[in-house]
Amino acid sequence: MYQGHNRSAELVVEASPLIVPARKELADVIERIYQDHCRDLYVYLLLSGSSPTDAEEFLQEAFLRLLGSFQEGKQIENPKHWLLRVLHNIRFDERRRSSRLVALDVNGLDGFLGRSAPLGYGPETAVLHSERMEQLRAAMVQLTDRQYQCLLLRAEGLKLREIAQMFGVSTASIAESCGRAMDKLGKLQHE
Amino acid sequence: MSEELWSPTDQHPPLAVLTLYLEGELEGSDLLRAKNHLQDCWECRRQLACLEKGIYAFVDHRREVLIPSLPPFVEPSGLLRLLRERASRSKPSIRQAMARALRIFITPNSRPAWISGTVSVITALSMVHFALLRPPQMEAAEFLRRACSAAPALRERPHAIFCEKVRIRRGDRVFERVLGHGASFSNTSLPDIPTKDAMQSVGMDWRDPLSARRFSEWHEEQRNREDKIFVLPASLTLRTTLLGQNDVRYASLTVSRADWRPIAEHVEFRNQPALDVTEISVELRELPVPTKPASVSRAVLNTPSLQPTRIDSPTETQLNDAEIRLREAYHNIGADVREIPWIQRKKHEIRTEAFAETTARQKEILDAIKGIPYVTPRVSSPETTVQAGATMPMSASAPTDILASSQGTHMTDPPLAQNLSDHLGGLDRANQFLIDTRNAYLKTLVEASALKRLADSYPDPLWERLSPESRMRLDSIADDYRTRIQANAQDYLRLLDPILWTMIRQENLSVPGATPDSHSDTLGCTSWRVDAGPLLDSLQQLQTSFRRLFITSETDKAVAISVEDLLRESIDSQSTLKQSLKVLCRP
Repeated sequence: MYQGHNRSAELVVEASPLIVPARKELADVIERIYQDHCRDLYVYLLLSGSSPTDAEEFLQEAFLRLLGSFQEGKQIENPKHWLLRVLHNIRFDERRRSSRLVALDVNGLDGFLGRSAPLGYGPETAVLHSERMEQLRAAMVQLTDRQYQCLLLRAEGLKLREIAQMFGVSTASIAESCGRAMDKLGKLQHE
Repeated sequence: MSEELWSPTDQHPPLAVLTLYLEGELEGSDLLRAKNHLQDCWECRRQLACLEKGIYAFVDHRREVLIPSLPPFVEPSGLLRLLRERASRSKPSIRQAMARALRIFITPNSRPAWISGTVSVITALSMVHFALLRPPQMEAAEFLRRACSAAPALRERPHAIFCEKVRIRRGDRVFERVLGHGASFSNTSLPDIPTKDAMQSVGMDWRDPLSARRFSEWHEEQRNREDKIFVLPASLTLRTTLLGQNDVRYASLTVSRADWRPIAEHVEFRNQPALDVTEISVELRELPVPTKPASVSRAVLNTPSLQPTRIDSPTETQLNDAEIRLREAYHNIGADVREIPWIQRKKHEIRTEAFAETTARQKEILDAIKGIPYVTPRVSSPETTVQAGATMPMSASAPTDILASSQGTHMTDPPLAQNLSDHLGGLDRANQFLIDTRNAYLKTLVEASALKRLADSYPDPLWERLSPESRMRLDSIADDYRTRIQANAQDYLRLLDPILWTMIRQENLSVPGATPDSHSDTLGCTSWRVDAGPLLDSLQQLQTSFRRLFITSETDKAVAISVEDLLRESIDSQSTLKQSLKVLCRP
């Protein structure tokens, strides 16, 4: 837990997720969080449909909000999850403001999938890989925006109930969305 | 979970319940009911397995397609600097709060109760604050004790090579140091004199810059100091700030939370650039138990880690043997055709990388190659990749031309698609035939490619240097491929031949000298190392030209081949393939 008050070092060591970002050390703490998660968050934003420029802007906004929260002494259990929630909200606000489609872009996804490289392996892997990816492509484009976003967030480590809170819906609803997406993709593996 | 997920009247759990169960988020009575139900219901267990496979599919897709397709990560320009600046500034919210409090106190109509209440709260908070802010001297000692005792246990582990690469940065100068125990390492750049002086001023040893013991000694020497410990998810940092006028403002030692191994050290000076030592990589490689007398081994293994010991570099024969053992191990578990591990021979070691589909498979591969000397393995799986943010092996070297070539912009026209459908009695049968042919082709291709890779790994000069025993072992692997290639290729040709010759007859194409079984029986045997290339080429060529007769395919350049050319090309490749199969004899 990241928190804005000073505690004894012994307690800090024993209770594992505690940290002491007193004002002097806040810069170090925020730098570490930045270095630990910035890249992952950037990847998440791009996969969610944000442009690189937007992603940069959203990241700046999210990290400044994190800093503000620390300065106000707020407690943050998991900075990455906190940042993901903030980024989700920022994207949502931005989408409402500009009425742009930030959702999954099927054409963009086709662009991704068209470049299903065999990653340096032999020709047979390339063939098998491209066939499998072709099947996956067909399934992925069938996913709804929410299903895709749920899977992305779940892949980033968020629990279903946390995703449900972000979307402002019930856990059962998110579990249903996620389950349908997993079912679609899983059936491919059966075939 | 308060909401009702699974109605008592429903016999089977809904999808949401299964998903929550799979994710470990189902609670209470629903969890118990789901567990009991799954014990009895195979249908639901099948559904659960399907969901799990869906997770794997998404993880694969995200890792292998989506992420590699993204533009490279560019750090948001200046964001880190901005964050640091803002973090080190005083908090505006506190200023505002103080101003508000002051206004309350100086307002003429503020009541004394307000003042006394506020004073009481501040006093209570101060007491709590100071009670909790006792100097953490004991904790720093404990921190250093643990760090000092962990390092030798890790570094001086018997029968293992510990290799650590550290980067030393002072201002804009950067140096790297490779240090290890159990082997000699030479990849080191020497620091300049100012850096050496800076390191010496805090007692840092160039031979072992990341040393908890040395930091502890320096720490003990500082009488007037203040210690603070920071805990992050993966690391712990002890920062020692020197009070009074010193050249050093503060120094910090960071250790890994997993094993208390020092991973970074930072020294902030007052009058010169900061010194930063960071671990870039660390590797602990198990070695086979040495055959030397125990006393000698102990003497070698107990050598202090500050003096990296030299063991004899492996000879070429030893490396050859290790590489063949590695290939045999991969072959025995089928990894040579499934995961297709990357093997690279270095001067003193053999590096290998593989990407397993599951953690179980990852373990199987690691177990198979465990104990092979001089091998540095890196076997990842989706779980470890997602957790560690690792990349696919060799993804960095994915050739861009492959990326480009998969984006075909021209389409070929299949001239005999209708003929095939008519001949086989419908589109469904034609499609099934093409699927069967492709599957048979892929089975052959997998083995033929493996043989070609093995042949490419042993060009003539290297092959000549191998011992007869080593050659025999490689021949044995090649023979396994040969057996499977010949069986699979026969299946493939059995499917393809009748249709190919039917089409030739329908097109009234004369193919001089070629009949369904016209290949010569008088050919001799050729080494698998020579035959592997032509065999693979002819196989691929045959499938390409044969498929183009019936299926539209994308090409990166315009292809205008007549039906006659495609048929002739198919016949030629088929003939070459049959010859290659014929001459591919038992080694």
